[in-house]
Amino acid sequence: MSPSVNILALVCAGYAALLFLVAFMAERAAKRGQGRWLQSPIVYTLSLSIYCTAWTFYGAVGFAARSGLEYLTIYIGPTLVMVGWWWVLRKLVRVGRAQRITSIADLISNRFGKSNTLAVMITLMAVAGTTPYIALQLQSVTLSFSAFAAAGPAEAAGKLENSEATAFWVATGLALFTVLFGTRNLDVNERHHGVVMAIALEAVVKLLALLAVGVFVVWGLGGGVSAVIAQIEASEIATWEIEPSRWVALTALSAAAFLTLPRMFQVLVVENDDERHLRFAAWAFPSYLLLISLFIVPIAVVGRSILPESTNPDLYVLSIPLTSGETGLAVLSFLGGFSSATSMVIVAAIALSTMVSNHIVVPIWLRLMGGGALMSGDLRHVVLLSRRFSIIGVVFLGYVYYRISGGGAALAAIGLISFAGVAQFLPALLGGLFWRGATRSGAVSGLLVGFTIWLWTMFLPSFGPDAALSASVLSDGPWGIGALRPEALFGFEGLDPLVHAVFWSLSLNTLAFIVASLVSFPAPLERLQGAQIVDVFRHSTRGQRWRGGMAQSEDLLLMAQRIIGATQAQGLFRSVARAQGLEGYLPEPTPEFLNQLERELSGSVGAATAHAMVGQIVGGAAVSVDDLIAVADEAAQIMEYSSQLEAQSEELTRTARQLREANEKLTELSHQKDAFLSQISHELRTPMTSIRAFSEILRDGEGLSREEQGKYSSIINSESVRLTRLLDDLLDLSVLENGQVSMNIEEAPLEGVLDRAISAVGLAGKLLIVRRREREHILLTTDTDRLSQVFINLIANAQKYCAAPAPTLKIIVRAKDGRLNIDFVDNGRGISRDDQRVIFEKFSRLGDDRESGAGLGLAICREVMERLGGTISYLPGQGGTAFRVSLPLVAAAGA
Amino acid sequence: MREPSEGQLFLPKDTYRQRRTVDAIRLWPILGVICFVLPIIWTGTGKSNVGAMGYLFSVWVVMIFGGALLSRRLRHEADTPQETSVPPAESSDTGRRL
Repeated sequence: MSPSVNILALVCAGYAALLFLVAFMAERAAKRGQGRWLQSPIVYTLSLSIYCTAWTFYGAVGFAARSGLEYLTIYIGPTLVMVGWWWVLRKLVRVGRAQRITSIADLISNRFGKSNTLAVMITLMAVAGTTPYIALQLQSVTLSFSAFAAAGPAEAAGKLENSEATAFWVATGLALFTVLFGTRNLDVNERHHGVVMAIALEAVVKLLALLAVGVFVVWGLGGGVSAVIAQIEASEIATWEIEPSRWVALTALSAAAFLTLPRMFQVLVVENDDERHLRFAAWAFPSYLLLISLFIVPIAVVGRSILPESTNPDLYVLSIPLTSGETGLAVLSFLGGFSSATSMVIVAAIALSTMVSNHIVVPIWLRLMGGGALMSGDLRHVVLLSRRFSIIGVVFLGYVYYRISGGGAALAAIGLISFAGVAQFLPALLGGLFWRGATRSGAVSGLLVGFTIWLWTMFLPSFGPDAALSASVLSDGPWGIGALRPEALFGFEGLDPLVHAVFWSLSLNTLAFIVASLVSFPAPLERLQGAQIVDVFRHSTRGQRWRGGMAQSEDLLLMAQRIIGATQAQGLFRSVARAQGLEGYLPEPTPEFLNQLERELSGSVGAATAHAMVGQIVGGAAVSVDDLIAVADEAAQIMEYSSQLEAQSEELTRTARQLREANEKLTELSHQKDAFLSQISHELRTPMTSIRAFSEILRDGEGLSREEQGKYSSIINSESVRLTRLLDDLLDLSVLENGQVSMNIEEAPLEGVLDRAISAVGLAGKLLIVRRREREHILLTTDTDRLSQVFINLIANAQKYCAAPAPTLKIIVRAKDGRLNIDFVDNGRGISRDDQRVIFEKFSRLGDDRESGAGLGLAICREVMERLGGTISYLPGQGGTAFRVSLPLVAAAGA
Repeated sequence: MREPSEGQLFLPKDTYRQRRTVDAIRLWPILGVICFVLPIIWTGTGKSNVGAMGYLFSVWVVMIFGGALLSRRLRHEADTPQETSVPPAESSDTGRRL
């Protein structure tokens, strides 16, 4: 008795839940840094197995039953590519890592001058080539469901109408999984550990399932190895009857597709953690393929002999255990097919959505929003959202294709059409990797020619006569032009249609690519990128050099925060600034820094967009004469020497600039010291003068009324209070500076300290304070009086100086890497770059406001924070005045 | 560059061996292509598919073992980086770690 479809659906759901769990655990382990085993070469190798889709799992047997050993070509191609890893894959992976490539479209566009046109073309072609393939996976799951249903006659009738629902729910589940685990983080180079782990598990399941069915067929049904061999010898596929051209063309096609399929590129290059994994996969993955293909022929032969004639050979893997009553094995085999289908769809959706979102949605969105790179708002949400919608779009495009095509054609046919479609990227990919002379025009023309021929000779005829192309066009050519017949271009008749299409599309693609490259002239950026990618193993080449001015660092920070997130961007800027020997968050925009920034951004939004955004801020991408000489000049050693000299001179220039800056600061400080004396005498004299004047009046004035006496003495009193406060501040500062102060360390919650500070300032309803109290439940071990003194100062400053009509102060608390950051951000005008350098100095006051106090507040704050082991700094690029108080979180615990 | 330049006539023995290992790794897939394409001469001769499978799977196993052996050799010899890697890859890492 076969299991009911309901139980199967339950098993399916259980299996899906297991996958979610595995993915979730892997993500968590990776987040906690326990994920070393996630990065093992075995996981990498297993993840490559998404090459083996449902087409392999079910279709290979059908392929073998129809045309003998020809199915092996599909595995021999990738085997050769893997064994020959030193030639192509090694370079591909290195380039992928060095340039932070996010997809095959990104790589090719990056190589050919970061051209977005090229990226868009490849994205569209990849979607066109992959959609039928996703449809194929949905179809295979549906077919296997109905195979189960057919085996249990009771459900058979009810099942048929449900097959579309099955496809729909499978598509929905897959889209959900992919959105959940495929778009957790934006930076594609931070790998999708959860997805990769789930795929590795699925790889094991499908291999075990196929091996189990194979073992069952050979030793359970066939009666041992020799009996099965005898059965093969007696079958319809006993002898070698393969057309040589098909053998060669299919092997070459599968090898090409292995490199260019977007999903393969994703796992091979983008998800690669370590170049050394390739060495392991170079022999381990061929072994996987060998095991997968080992039992295909026995299954095909035994299946044909024991199953009724009408059984679809594509489903032998499932039908054999079902008809033999091996329910457990049938379920395992079903799960194998399910795994193959789902893992392909998941990775293909991630790869395609990255391409669609980076190269189509985000550029369009940026253009529509007009403001360009300097707009406010967090771009990350847009990118993530567009990626999520792209995933859903890609999966459901596959579903729609499945519904429209009706899921008729044999599985293998769709697979090969898809292979041939994406194989059109190969000339541009290889040419870009190995030939400096390849140009953008060459790549565009090659792709256009190849893709058009593929459409005409393979894709459109695949729907059958009178579907996409009329029968007369197929037999006589369009408008009766025989030379353009889809299956006999230029009158070359008699070729197998597949060989014909692959031969013409790839050869004319390559020809157009080479000829257009030879006659066109590359733009400077193309030549630079070409040199960088072709000579990736030589370090003498340099990327394109940005030239930046001083005023732009803040703009760059503003933009970077929107793309890679505030914390990460500030971290990056701060570390670069520190490496340059500068304080704060704004490094010098040196060419190295700009290149690094561009690469970081391109990990999130792709090379073309990142380049455009940096270019918008820095101003024209300057490719200097030196750079051009560097590209043209072949004498690498001279170049290396001169580049060393140049590096030294740049180093010197930078040091000189830093010295100049230090000198300027010293001069300024000395001015301040001078000013200090006059300041202090001025500050002391003003209250002194009025005290003296009024006390003289009181002494000499007779006949003063009581009110006048009271008024004058209260003036004397308030002036002496002011004087005392000033002296207190001075004393406080000098005590702090000399380190004589003793700290009164105690434990208190941050929330309480902030509360106290806010009430001490006495807001008078003028300043609106925005806090997130749930984040403030942090226990501090520090001198809370001193800390609240700092807070009071910052809040009081915001109250005094924030010039916005509705002044607002945001207090943002963030704990990270053992430090507690408390940001005070108001919505005022901010502080200009020049002033930012002096605000923490004594007596530095912005503007001439008499009310503004002595200008000691921030200087005291800085000293206090130093004593507490923390820092206070100005935080640029927040849209207002912003200060960050940073404390170590020693012995602090979240409450 | 610490690496001996291409033009040097005599190399230290370990560098020499390493270069020959790389040569072997380069040539290995070419042998594979030849062996895997060879069966096309059987078309029309009525060659048994069982025999063909025996041949193809043997080539496959030899390819795998040879590949494993060579990459093992390379691991021993070339764990000191053979090419100076492109510095940007490292500098971008520092950004990510933060």
